[in-house]
Parts: sequence; structure tokens; C-alpha cells
Amino acid sequence: MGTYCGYSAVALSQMLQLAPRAPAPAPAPAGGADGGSSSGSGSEVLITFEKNAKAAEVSARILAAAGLTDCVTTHVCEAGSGAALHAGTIRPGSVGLLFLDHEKTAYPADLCAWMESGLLAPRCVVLADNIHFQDCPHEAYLSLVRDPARGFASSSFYASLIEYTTHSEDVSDLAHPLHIRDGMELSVLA
Amino acid sequence: MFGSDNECDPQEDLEMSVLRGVYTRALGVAYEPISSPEKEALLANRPESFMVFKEGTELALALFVERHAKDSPFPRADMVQRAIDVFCYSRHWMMHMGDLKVRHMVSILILHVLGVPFTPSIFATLTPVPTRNERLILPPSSAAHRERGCGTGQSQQLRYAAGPGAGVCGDGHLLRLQRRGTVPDASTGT
Repeated sequence: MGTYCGYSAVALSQMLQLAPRAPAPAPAPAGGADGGSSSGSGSEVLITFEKNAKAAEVSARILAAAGLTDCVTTHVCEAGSGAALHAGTIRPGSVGLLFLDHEKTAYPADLCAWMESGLLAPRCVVLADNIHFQDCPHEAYLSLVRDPARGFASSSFYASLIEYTTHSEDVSDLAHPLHIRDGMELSVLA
Repeated sequence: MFGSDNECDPQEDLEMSVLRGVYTRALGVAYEPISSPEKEALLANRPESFMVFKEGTELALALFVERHAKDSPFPRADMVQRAIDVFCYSRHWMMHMGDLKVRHMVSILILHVLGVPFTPSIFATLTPVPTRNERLILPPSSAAHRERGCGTGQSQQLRYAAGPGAGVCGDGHLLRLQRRGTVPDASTGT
């Protein structure tokens, strides 16, 4: 959710090419900067959502430059509406990965929309970026995914640094100023 | 706004140096991430642009990527990511995941989505931008390296880097993954 210029879509597309080629349909890794689904054919597909048409045009050029045009489908729409958009085209329970990197205030509602759609697979992995942007925790989202009663088996925080702000790569360095610290939350559905 | 394309521009010379480094190392069948000193040098002359959003930045990025990635002898997707990173370290901050966080994302997802037990060496195998402590793996002279078509254009799905980590994990680990069906055989596509 949140294709923007396609940077993470390029990375995820490459990663998904490494997925095991299961002979039988199974919950398939997919998703994106973005959301994802299985085509039902045993191969993985990456579906992304971007509400800004100009950004979507740029992402199309970036993906073309990367030779990945055929690997990624981008919808120009609100990320949360993506579940309804695909209600009839994606096999229920087949989305193995949901990646959230769009409007931060929309994370909880959009995740709930996907959860309620029935499209997410058991043990679906939900990865959300910018959960501690500038060291400020996204409390509304964390209270959702860290509540077992909401259907999550586990949820963990992974520290990182805000992109393109420092030459350092040491995320454990507490000397980093708060404004360059960030992180992702990885949650797994029950 | 985003730096000059004038060939005499010192910042562009620096950008090209970083990008040419990839070319040279790619031809030598090795991939190195953008180093911390390279990032520091690029950042040193970047206009202050953190959290600054200017009309046209995304289009400037697309043009930069298309100009620098089209003739790359390196896998196109890798070069696209590299070009985006160079643009963002050198010309204008943008809110992509960035080279550091995308590595973290890939390593997390390899474990949770692809089901591959994470080790730094596996991570480095699967990601184009290993850090200094995570780089891998197959020495260019190794038999497995040659068998897997590295440097011949057949190895689009796997990344290799010779470096200090080569002693940490040898061919055996990668081959074990292949036997388990986790890593596709780059030479046969299966």
C-alpha cells in the first residue's frame, strides 16, 4: 500500500522471484509497497496501490527501467479500497504478505479493511514501515497489531534509520539523533 | 533544483563515480554496496531537503534513473535501486525505503514469507546491497559461482559479492538451500 515511485516494489519483486515454486496452491508470498495476492497458479504476484496518479506514472517508469513491468500490477486508488477492488479477483485466503507504506494515519483502518475482506491467508505477514518515524511510535497501529484478540499471533519491532539521512548504518548506535531513527513492525496473523 | 547535469558539476562527477564503481565491480563479478564514505561524500553537498517536498522531484528521479540504468551491464533492477539511492543521497531526500531499510525489510521477509532461516550470509545472497558485516559469499573463482552463471547475465535472481564475509559462509550453505528447493537454480531457471 503506497507504491510511490516503486522503490520497494522493485525490491519485493526481486525477493518474490526467490520464493519456492510450490506445486500445489498455497498461501503465497505477495504484497508490496503495496498489497499482494496469489494468482492461484502457484506463482507469486505483486499488486501495489497508489492514490497519486503522478506518482503512479513515475513508478511505472521506474519499474520499466528495472525490467519489472510484467511482474507488478499497480492500481491507482486508495490502499484501503484495494481489498474491495480485488474481492472477486483474488482467491480468498491467498494474500501472504501485506506491506504498508502509505498514509500513516490510514494504517489501522486499511489493515482492518484487508483483514475483514477474507483475502488474507492464515499466517499472513503484515509489515508496516515508519512505525517509529523520528522515534515517535505509531500507537494506534501498534495497539491493533499487538493485541492477540484482534487476530495476531505475534508482532515485533525492527529498528532502522530514516532513509537517506546519514551515512551510518549502525542502527544500534544510540548516539543517532532521534530525527533519523525509524523502524518497521512485523506482525503475523494467527 | 536537483543539481546540474553539466558534466563539469562536481556533484555529478561524484555520482558517476559511485555509479561507475558498480559497473566496474559488476564486470569483475562482485557487487559492493554504496559505502559509508561514498554516502557521506554524496550527502555533503546535497541541499538540505529532509522532509522537503518539491513539485517535480519524482519526475527528476525518473529521468535520472532512466539515464543511468538503461545501459547498465549489471542487472537492471539492481541498477535502478542504486540510481535511486544515489539520487536521494546526492540531490534530494525522498521518502523511499532507502538502501538500509530495504535490506532490513528483505531480511525480515525472507524469514517470515519465504520461510528461509535467516543468517547474514543468506541475506547477503538475496539482497544486492549487503552491509560490511553481511556481505557474502561466493568468491568469484568458486565452482558454484561459475556454475550459477554469475556475471553472464543468467543470474538475475541471485546476487553475489566477494568480500570479507566469504569465509563466513561458503558454497555449501547456498547449495543446501538449493537442494531444499528454496533458492531457484539460476542456470536452469528451476
